[in-house]
Amino acid sequence: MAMHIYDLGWMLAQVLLLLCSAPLVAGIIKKVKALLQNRIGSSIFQEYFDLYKWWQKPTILTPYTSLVFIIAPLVYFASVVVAAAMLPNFFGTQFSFGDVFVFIGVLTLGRFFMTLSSLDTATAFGGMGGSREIYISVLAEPVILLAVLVNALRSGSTTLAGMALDFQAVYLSVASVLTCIAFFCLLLAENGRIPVDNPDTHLELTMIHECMLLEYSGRLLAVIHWASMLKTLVFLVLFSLLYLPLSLPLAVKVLLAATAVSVMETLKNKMRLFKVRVYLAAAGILLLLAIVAQ
Amino acid sequence: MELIYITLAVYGMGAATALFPKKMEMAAHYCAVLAAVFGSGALLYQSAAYLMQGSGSLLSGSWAFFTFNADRWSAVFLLITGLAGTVTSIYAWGYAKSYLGKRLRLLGGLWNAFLLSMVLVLLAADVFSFLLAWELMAVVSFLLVNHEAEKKAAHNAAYQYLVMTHIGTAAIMIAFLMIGSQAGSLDFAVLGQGVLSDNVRNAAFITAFAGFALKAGLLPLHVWLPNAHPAAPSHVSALMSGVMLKIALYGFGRFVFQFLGPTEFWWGAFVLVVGLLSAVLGALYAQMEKDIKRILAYSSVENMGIIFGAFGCGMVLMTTPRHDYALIGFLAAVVHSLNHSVMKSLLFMSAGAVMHATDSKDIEKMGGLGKLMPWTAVFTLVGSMGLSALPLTGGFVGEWLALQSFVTLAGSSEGQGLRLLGALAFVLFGLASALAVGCFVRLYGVVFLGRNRSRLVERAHESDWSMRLGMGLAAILVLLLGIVPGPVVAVLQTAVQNQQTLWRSFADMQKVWWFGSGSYAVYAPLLLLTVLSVVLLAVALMTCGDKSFVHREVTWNCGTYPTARQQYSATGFSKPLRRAFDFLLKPKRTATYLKKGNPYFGRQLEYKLSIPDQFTEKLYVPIQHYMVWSASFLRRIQQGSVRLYISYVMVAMLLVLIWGAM
Amino acid sequence: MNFLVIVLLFVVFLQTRIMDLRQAIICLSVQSAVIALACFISGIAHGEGIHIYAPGLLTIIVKVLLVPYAMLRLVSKLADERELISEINVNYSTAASAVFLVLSYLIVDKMLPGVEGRDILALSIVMILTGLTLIVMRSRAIMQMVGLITMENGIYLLGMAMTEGLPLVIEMGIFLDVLIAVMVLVILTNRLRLSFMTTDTNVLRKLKG
Repeated sequence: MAMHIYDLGWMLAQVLLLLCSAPLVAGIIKKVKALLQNRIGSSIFQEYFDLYKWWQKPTILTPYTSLVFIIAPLVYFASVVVAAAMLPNFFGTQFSFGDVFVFIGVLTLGRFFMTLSSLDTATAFGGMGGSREIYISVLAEPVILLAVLVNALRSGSTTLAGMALDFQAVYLSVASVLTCIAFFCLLLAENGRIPVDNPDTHLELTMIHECMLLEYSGRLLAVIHWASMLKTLVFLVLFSLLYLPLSLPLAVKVLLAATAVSVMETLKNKMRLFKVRVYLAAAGILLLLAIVAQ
Repeated sequence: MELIYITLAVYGMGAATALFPKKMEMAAHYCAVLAAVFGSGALLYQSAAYLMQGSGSLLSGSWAFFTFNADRWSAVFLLITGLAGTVTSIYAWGYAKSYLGKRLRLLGGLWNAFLLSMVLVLLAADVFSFLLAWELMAVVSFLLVNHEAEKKAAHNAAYQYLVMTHIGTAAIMIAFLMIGSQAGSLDFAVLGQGVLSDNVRNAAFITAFAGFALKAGLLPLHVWLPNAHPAAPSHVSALMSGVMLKIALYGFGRFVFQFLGPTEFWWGAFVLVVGLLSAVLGALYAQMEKDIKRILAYSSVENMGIIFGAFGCGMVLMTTPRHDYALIGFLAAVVHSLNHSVMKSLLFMSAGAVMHATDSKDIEKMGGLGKLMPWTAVFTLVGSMGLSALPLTGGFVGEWLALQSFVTLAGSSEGQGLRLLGALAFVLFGLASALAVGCFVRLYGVVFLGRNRSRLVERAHESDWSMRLGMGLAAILVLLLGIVPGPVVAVLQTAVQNQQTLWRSFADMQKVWWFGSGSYAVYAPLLLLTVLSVVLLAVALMTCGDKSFVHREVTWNCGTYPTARQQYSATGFSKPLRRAFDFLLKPKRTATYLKKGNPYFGRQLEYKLSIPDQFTEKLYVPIQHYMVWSASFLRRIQQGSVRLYISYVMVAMLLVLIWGAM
Repeated sequence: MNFLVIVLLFVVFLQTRIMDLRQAIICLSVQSAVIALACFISGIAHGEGIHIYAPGLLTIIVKVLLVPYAMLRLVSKLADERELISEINVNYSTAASAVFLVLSYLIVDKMLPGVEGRDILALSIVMILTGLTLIVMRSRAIMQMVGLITMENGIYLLGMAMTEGLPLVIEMGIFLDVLIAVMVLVILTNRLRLSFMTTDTNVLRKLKG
């Protein structure tokens, strides 16, 4: 039991570390993007200031909403935090309460509530965002599972710790490169990044994730944004741990992946909503090839 | 073990309440419900106690020509029947009252008869008893579907169901006869011991699977299900979806484990693919429907697909080098059967409550019911979460096990074939489960959240105590089965393990439910719950601690005042998916101008969208046409004269005699 | 026994020629009585105990008394109806019976050469086929019933000749069957008379969809 409490402590440390660094990583992505676009851009700490600002502001609720509207951001936040806690421990201890399917399930829990809240606002915008979110998730889910399958077959385990790449050995093969590319595509889709969604715009015709948050303000908005940033970081870490076949320290790999996201966002445009089908199908086919090639 | 007989007797007495005089309609109703609750409760207790510590068989014996025998495989489904039966019967106390004056006595009697017939199917120990009980179940459920025979839709659905279910019975009967004729006996215990040739086994497998798949609503034999389940009164739909579909799995399991001999690889692969395709298409159609009960019915197709998919995965595993892992597929099927029966009963009950409150089945007319029916809303949320297979609900456990079985399948040999089969299973399963999430977000969001979409909702009221009690118990069960699945899975495992002693048990596979330290797969729901609730509590305290921070303002709507009709509709919500899957769904859209006028304004446009079930359109309608067409040839020899017909007989007889003498 | 066969053959030929309903029923009754007699003779020849008398007695009760009585009552309600067919048609049915007689002897010789009850077997086939001919060629419901019972007698005779007495349960079943069939037909005929003012079954053609 004492051993478990010790492990629990390390898990807590990991979660806190991820929580605190999530806005920083988001800031870095923005900064790199700005530099790539020949702009100076905002400070890499800007996201912390934003969160602080929203925290100070009052929350405005519409008269039509029910309790779900208030609960949803909290559940979303909690689910992402739990997902962060489920990542293989950086500090080398063994502690987990669910394998990769539970990880996916926990993230789905957050999405379920966020899409529900989008229908609770009783406007066209919320529903539009929720509807598109569901659409993307339906297309992404099979691809995620395939990505999981590749690693599960390689390692013979479905726990995230078991699936993690061996840091010491450079693990390069056709299968691992294909999986790496496919999962990167998936990472962009899951976190509402260009080319699937544009996190910087509030044009209702193009946005997905931002659409659902349109009615949120104050602390609830801060919670959602923080959770979204954490989710991006969790996916970056996951990508680095499981799919990036380079033998580098984790922090470096995460920063590398973050930079890759910035580069991608600079190079590509947001694609039409119904093109996402083709985009994710392509990622799925890469993964199928990887499964065959393994 | 005598308690089962009491259950049967109580159900029988409940069925007899249909004979009460007309004046005592209410008394008949109460007696019927009490009988059903008491009988199901006894059944639940009995089967649970047996599964936990019993050995041998639950009961065996015979009465008249009917022979009983209930082993662990039966007991699992008896447990499901007892559980769903108890919950829905409590609900029926309040719900069925709305049928006062509409053959309420008959409804109560048939309700008990339906439960009785399902229990008899599970107890039957020879072919004759099984088919008799199976027929009884079919006929009673037909009568229940046809209960509101005044409604044209219910009437048509009932007859469609009757025809389809008899086709299924015929297929099952053929399968039984093929095996029985080889075994030389119709007793279940002897049936599997005959030496069968491969052709007979394959043929028996195909017919048995067709028969049971029809009852389970798998593709492409599902067409009756979305019509029949919604047509019945809601508590009956709950039982039909929750229990009757599972009985198909029971029968199919008997065939696979006992009667058909060693499983072939292609059987399993066939069941797996058919099951998972049903799951995807069921979920897709569920996403498109507007009728609350049709959504749930299609969701049943989806879940039965997942159950059969996992079962097929187990069958494939039996033929691979890792056949000792086959247990996990069957276990997933059984666990998901139990969970789905509770969740689907819950949601059909809440659909009933909603229909009771609003007099409508059309979710496009609802909205904002959460404020008027808070209890129902909470229970439905739990059920929706379960059916979306979110962690900490029962639905997740079964799907998690199913995923584990697919991983095992993909990794079970070095060959590419199984790996690709596993990958296919993953893709289809992923689609189905994500579609299910979308479907229930849409259902819950449109019905319970937002604003009233029509005046029907204004009159809505909370359900009475018995309905709330029924739904509440089911909701608690959904959570309980999700948070402490360990003991339940361990108990259910004994039922499957009984079939083959070689199979590894769950503990061997290093699945640990509490503190996760397994290296293969881990799910520790209690710990997950603890962590999740701690985080949730912390963030809730931080965010909502200060009440003064909350303001109420009207939703921003680009500067105009929002109306209820500007909300996203259910049809709109599923639009992206409709478009993404239009190659499967083939939606029909027509736009007609009601009033011609200025091309830029003042036009009235009527826009119609219909998504006909493609299997009805492409498969059943052509078959029907062909049958009518070929019947027109038969008309020629049918002239309506009795004497002509007799002369056909005579000619035939003469020919036979002469042929015999040749 | 041979004498009985000749009598029965004669009765059957007569049956094809009678056009008056009342006479046809009496003829039928006589035919059944001969069958009953054959039954007793065969019973006494082959076995003992109550079992051998039971089928004969049942034949007398059901086919000689009950059924003709019911039919006669029905006929009395039909004000002097006759089978309205031409003389040629009658000749055809008699001729058909004659052809059947030849045919059935051929069949019996071919299928069961040298069998003991050759005449009875042939006769029973003739009776079955003649009964069918009656049903096909006559249009009055009563005459069709007569055909049915002739056929039934033929089957019964065949069974008796082949197996030397069927189990009692099956015989009871057959009698019950005949009784029910006649009951249904009587009711049907009555309905026909009330609805269409005739018992001509040709009117049933109107029911065809």
